[in-house]
Amino acid sequence: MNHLEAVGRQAAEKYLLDELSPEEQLEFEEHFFGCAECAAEVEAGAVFVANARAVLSEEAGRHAPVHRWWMEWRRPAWAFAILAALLFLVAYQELLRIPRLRREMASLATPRAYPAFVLRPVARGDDQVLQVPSSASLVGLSLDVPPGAAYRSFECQLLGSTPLSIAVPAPASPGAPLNVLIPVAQLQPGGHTLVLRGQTGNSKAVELGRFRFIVQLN
Amino acid sequence: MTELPKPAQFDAEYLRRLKEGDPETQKHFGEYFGFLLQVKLAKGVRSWQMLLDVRQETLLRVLEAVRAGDINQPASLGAFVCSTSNHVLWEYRRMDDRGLRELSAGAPEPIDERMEIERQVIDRDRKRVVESVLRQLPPTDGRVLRMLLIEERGKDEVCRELGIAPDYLRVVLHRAKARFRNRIGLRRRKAASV
Repeated sequence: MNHLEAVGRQAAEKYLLDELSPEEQLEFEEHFFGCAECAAEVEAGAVFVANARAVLSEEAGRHAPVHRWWMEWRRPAWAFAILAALLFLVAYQELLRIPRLRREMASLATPRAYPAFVLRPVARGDDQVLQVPSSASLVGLSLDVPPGAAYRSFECQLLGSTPLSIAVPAPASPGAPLNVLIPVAQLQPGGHTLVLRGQTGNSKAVELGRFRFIVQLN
Repeated sequence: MTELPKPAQFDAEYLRRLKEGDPETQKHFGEYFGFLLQVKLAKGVRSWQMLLDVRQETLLRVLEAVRAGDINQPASLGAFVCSTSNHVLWEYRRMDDRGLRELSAGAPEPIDERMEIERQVIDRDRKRVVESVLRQLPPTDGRVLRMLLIEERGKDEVCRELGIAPDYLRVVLHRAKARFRNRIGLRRRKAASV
């Protein structure tokens, strides 16, 4: 390949763009190693390409949108997964959770009877047995407040693996019993202890008595 | 090896100085052909290290041949350097293939070291010139270069997407390169005159 052929065939551009066949490439390399003008063309092209790649990469980096982890959901794969999860949640709420809540609300608005017991303090003898119908959802417990100081409020604490605490306002008339309603689900069959505490003012609550009872479901 | 030095007259006098070990001539020889070898070898080597080795070995062999008086036609020095590099590259590829075969099948692929090779010729001044050249290109030309150099799209794909003929890619490169060369030349002349 001579210089005129190289120029006429745009060999330098083809070389840089990898458009020459292997034979043509060897021919052109042999030529430009001995031709100062073609060598300068190849040099300019190689240097331009390298620097242009660097400049354009930097520009692309500057203009690329900032990646934020919380924007990941906008990617199609995540969007489908999130949509599926939302549909599942809606179906769960509509088919199971909301009907159950509606049933519970309806049952609360309906008048009904519930088993109620007057608890005896521990000091009065053996553990008291409470026969609770298994169909009941609530159990009423009535506790006598020991006479003495006037208490502003009371706390009933049911001891156990999952302690239950109920705040009870002082009855309207002094000496009247305290009444609490406890979900049967909180009263597993077996022995239970209920602690009654009274609060007089800002001081610490005072324990007024303990009530031990055995729950039997029938 | 960041720039092609001024070309010399590859004549009997140049060959004589090279044979006698003239430091200036040896320096020119190493820089001029070293740069051309870098461009050429970048297309055929697997790693930056291999490029350095082949380039070094080629220059050494040519110098030995010059000292031994094996080059009779001074004007063919460039062609001789080129063909020597082909031989050396072939030898290194064979060694490399043997080495690769001896490695386990699960060995990692050689890394792409194009960026390392290109880094040798990237500098702030040139980037500034390239930026101004790119700014003045027609939008389609800029898009062509971006697709070819950054997005690494195939030429057919670029032509199809932009509705241009394959020859147009060469035109774009030629135009951009010519502007770049003019400006770099202008800067060099200005720097030389100061």
